Amino acid sequence: MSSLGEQNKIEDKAKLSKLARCMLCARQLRGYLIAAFCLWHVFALTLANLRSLEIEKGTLQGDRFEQVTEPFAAYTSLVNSEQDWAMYAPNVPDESYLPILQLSFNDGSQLVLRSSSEPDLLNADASNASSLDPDASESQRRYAWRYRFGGLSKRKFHEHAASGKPSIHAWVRHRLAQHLRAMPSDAQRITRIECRRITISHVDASGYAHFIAANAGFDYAPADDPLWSGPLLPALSNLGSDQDG
Amino acid sequence: MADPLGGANIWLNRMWREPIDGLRLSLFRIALASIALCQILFSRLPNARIFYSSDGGLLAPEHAESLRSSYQRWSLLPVDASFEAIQAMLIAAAIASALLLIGCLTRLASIALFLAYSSILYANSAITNGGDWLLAAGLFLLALMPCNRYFSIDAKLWRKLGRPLDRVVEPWSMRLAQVQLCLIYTFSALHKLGPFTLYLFAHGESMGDWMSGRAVGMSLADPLVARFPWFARLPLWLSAPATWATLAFELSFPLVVLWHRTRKFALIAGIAMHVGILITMEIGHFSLTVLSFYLLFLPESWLPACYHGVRSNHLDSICEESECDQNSS
Repeated sequence: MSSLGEQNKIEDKAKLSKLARCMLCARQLRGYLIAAFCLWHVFALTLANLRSLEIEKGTLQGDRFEQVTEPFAAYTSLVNSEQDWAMYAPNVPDESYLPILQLSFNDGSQLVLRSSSEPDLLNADASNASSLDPDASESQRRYAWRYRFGGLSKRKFHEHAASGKPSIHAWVRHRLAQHLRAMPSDAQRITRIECRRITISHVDASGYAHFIAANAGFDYAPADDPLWSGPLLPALSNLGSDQDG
Repeated sequence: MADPLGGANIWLNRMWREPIDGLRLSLFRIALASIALCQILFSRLPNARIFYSSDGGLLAPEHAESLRSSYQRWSLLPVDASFEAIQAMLIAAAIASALLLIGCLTRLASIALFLAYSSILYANSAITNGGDWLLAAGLFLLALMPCNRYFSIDAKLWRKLGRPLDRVVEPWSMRLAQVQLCLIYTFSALHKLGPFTLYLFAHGESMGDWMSGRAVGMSLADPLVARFPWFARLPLWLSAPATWATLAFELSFPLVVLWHRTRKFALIAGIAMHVGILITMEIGHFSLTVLSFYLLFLPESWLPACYHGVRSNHLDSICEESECDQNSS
């Protein structure tokens, strides 16, 4: 009887040690997996950062470097840990760019629609087309200071749009629709919609930021834009068909 | 013969394997969840019609498509997602961040927030900034962390059930977040220095705004970013030390924060710098998100005494156990 009990005990012990060994193995395996993941993650972040430095870009070595680091950059994108920490680097810009809309009406008058990120002009009517004259006096090109609290998302969008990316069309639609909601009667009078990019110089020795220039942009035609959902602009459409004709 | 790598091995083992108290992870959770919740409730949701609608809003579907076709970027939202779908995702993100904040179903909430927040970022990436991307990276790391050991409903529930959660946790996820912050500073400084700064200097050309000490003054003269006009165009004698101090801080941070004797100086300098940025520049929640990462570096002695006591008692018992194991083997 006692020998049977001892045998059971030995079997139980063997079973237990087998289970303990399995658990130990699983624990070790988990440890190795975590170590491998940590190594991979740190390595990938470092290489993705190096990639963003774009050392020797354009040379053969640079191209190879980009190819080699491609999987690491892809991984950081996959886990939404993209690495590009180049704020105000390598130099701090002394100019900023924002989009504006210039509307022409059938009576020959013009109206300038600005983005909400642009500060107010101190001594000029911002909605008047003459405010875009780069030869205006220094005082007419001066901006008033705007205290900034919030509005970062919109500013980022405006800067993005001013850089000529596809988002510029979204801004044009948005700004035009906003104006037409406030002034519905203008829809009948608009003959041309021109989107331009303005340059603002940062605060200089005079203590003011200045309007520098408005470059030539592109003409926006709502009729050609499937995403335009605002009112019809008959004067603009007529002009378009006349030109076509 | 003494093992030359022995010291490094011990240090690496301690750094990556020695259990730590979960308090810092819980504080990190609360900080990131608060930032995400505030951003969604006070910025994204009230302006959802402007930010995420192509019908008179600022959404450019063609931009989203071109962005997502590169690398491995992904979103739970399709490229042509409707405004209502994006709005639902925003609400889901708000609920997930609220749950994460109170520590209810913490792991699930952190994964849900990471997925929802990432999806929202790509819904209109033209409105995002560096702080958003850093928050997304932080949320990924948070999803890996056992961050429900303090100030959480989970911890209270498990305690009520008679199986309290272990407050001592594995450190690797926290170390990954610490490495991320060190990489941000190091590479931010390298970007500022530029690879050819010294080469340009040797050839008598401009060294760039950072090495020449003008950068801080110039950035505070940006009328679209600076909050107040008072600091625009600082005199060089004031701007240059601030510029060089920023560079020196960013370059040295990983080394200074690594050594426990200098860690508090690194943290104090970093807090001063980011609070300064927060006060003078409108760059959203970037400074707050970076400061959330600082919580993971808090020295043990800075943690409240009650939690410190819990930790040391627990760690002592673990050490005793491991010593017993070693002796018996």
